[in-house]
Amino acid sequence: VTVRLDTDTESITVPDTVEELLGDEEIVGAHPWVVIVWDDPVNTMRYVVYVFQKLFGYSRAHATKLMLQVHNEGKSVVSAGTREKCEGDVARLHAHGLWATLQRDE
Amino acid sequence: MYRFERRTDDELVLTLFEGEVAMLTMLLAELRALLLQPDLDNAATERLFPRAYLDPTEEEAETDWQSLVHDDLVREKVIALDAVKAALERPSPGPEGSRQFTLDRTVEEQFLLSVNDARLAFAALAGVTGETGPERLDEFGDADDAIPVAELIEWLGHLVEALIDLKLADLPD
Repeated sequence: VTVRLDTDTESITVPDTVEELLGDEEIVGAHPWVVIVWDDPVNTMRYVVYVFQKLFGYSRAHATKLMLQVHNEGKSVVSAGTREKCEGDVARLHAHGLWATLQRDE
Repeated sequence: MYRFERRTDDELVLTLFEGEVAMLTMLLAELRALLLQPDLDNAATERLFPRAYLDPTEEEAETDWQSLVHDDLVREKVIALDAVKAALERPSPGPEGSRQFTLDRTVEEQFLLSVNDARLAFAALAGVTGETGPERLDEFGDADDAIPVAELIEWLGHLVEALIDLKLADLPD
């Protein structure tokens, strides 16, 4: 699949932790579950960016960072919260054809 | 000729040639049949309805989650497929012998998800696991006229990408 991106990938920094992703350690500490999106060979990069923006309200730049982490590293933490919230996020991601799972934050 | 043209805020026009309409209608009908099979144990439905928990100690949570969401996910996908099918049954004459279809915002999103689901499902059935895969998807039609799966997935991908162009433009940078 040929994918076109308008972003300069070399300038992108991908968050390594949930704290960095969300920018609020208190929230993360209170809700130690995370949603992971895994790489797959069929969904296009721009489709994944669209889904991240649509479902989570992320900016184009942040959604692109997460998509590139999925693409380059095989997975990315895309949201965090209570188990119930994460189960809901996984269901919404599955409804959009993304391969997502949830697990306790390590 | 543009694949998609947004005429008003709630009116998107899709342009397809006659052969494309027939192909898309057939593929979406095949996908609908797959979703409604009593036995969901195949590569396509495994891909469309993956596990939520990978941790084997969360098997009970996985079972509970599946019992809560699976039927709703299937229902949503079937509703979307039916809405797209209905839209494809209302063509208007387009340029160069093409057919045009008007989609409102809801059907536009259902079209995107249905076509993307079709890509995922047929790629999974064909065993596509990377950049390369089997050349033909023999599950459809006789062996002599089996669909070239790479071309099929690429064509569906063009539809997805053309629509994503418009939808990303609707979202903030």
